[in-house]
Amino acid sequence: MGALLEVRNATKYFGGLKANEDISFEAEAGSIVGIVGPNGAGKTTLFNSISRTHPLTSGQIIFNGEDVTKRKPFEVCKLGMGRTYQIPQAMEDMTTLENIMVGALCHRSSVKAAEERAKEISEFCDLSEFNNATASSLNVMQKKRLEIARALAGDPKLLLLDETMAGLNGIERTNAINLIRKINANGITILMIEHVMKVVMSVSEKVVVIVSGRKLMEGNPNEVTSNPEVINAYLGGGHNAGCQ
Amino acid sequence: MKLRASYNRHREFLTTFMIVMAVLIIVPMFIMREFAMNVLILCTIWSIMGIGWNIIGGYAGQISNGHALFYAIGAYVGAMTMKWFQMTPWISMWIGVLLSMVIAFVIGTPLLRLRDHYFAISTMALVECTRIIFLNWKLIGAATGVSFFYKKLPTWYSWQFANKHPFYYISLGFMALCIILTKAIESSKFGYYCRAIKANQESAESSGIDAAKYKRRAYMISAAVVSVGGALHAQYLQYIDPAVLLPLSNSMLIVLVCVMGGVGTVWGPVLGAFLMITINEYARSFFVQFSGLNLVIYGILVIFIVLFLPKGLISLVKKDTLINISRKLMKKLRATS
Repeated sequence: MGALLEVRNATKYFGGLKANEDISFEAEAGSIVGIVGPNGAGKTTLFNSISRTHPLTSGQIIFNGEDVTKRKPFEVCKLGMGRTYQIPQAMEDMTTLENIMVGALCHRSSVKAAEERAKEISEFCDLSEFNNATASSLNVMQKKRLEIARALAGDPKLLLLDETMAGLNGIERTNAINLIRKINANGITILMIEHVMKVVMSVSEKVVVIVSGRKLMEGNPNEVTSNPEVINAYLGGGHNAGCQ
Repeated sequence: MKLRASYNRHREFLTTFMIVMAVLIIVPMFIMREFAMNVLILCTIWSIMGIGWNIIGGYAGQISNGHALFYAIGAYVGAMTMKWFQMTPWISMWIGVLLSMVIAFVIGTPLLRLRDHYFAISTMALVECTRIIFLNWKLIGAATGVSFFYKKLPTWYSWQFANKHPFYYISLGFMALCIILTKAIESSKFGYYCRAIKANQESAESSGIDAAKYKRRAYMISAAVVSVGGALHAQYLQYIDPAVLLPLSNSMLIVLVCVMGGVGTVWGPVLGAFLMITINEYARSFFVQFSGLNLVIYGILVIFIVLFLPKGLISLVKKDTLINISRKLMKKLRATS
């Protein structure tokens, strides 16, 4: 399988601050790719560049064989790129079902068809009991699932998940991992930012490590965790984290 | 089959619509007082204005404080075409609508890039500019205004009737059309997209919504509806000048009838307009000795509604709100006793 998403030399400056510098990697169709890195490493910036929330300073984003570097967020969504936000951005005044319907309307012009699709997705993400509750009444975990549901309703080829596991307890986390596996089993490629190493290790096929805005390395989970530089970046230099 | 299904889907709306229309058609037949008819006509006209604002302000969440602009365009197009060519309002109204939409497109494209308060301020500035331009524009009567009263034309052609009932029914007809338009928008993809943009523009954009396009479209439709209201008002007054049409208070009243009634709802603006205009007009005639007291009453009412019914008067109509309020009252009574 070829690469669905290709990031070439992505560089993003905010004024004088180099948030991302020369990051390149690929995500193969049908795979789960994890992005890890310490706080402030520039993971979300990279995500925003990929989903076109802000423009790149230089570099290219190739999605499904098409250069989307200059596209707008709603255009890449129509091409099949769905995303979630680290801090859930639900449409608070609308009901859960309506939130998902907004996503589903992306490829459907009939409200009725969108409603049916939204009900399916809601079922799939275990949200159906909240269908008629307003999004503002959901808790954080449910809102995160709602984000995923809305993105899924747009029938994406690639799903960008920004820290969907942060702040979840053990059981919730297991449920979330199952959900991600289920989504991936439907043929959707997943690119996820994750802090919880256990999650990344258990689901990702490939892990990209970003430190201080640069790509440190990429490889399978085992290669990454055994790399002393990665451990250094996570735990700080000078410490001997008992992994010699 | 299809008709049946859509009837079932919107049964609640259709029933309300039928009842409200029946009342508004039948009751005025028995009203003979000119003043009462005058109030009713103003109510329908301001309902249309509120409905128009509701599309951009209520559904798409962009607070425009400059809708008097489109109100004036509708009014002036109607007035000038009548004065120059004796054109019937049945036609000139649509010219006004078209012109309003074009202007909404031109000014909406840059202004809608602004968010929240900045959009509100810029639209307010725009309408002030328009007022000053109109005040000095000789061609359209400048500060002296335009009067256009033609006795010789057939009444149903010129909308200039001897009594108020025919005009009321014309105005009511347009109000009914605007209500149906709102309902159609609310239950369409466009309506969902507008509400999504209002709720959260970022996530709307990442869900595949071209926010700029949909906001502009909402602004244009909203301008068109308000322009219809302006055309009706001008034909009713048969005299217009910038001081009547374009003061800031007019832009505010358009917003107010909608906010008081309930933003983002089909019936909110109608309810708001009927209540606010009735109170305002009757207070004005009642306190004729103390000019300005009607505004004090009006102001107090606005404060109370904003404090106790932040979602507008429409929330009173919903059953659970009444139950909630009575529950709260009972609790308080119990606590004090």
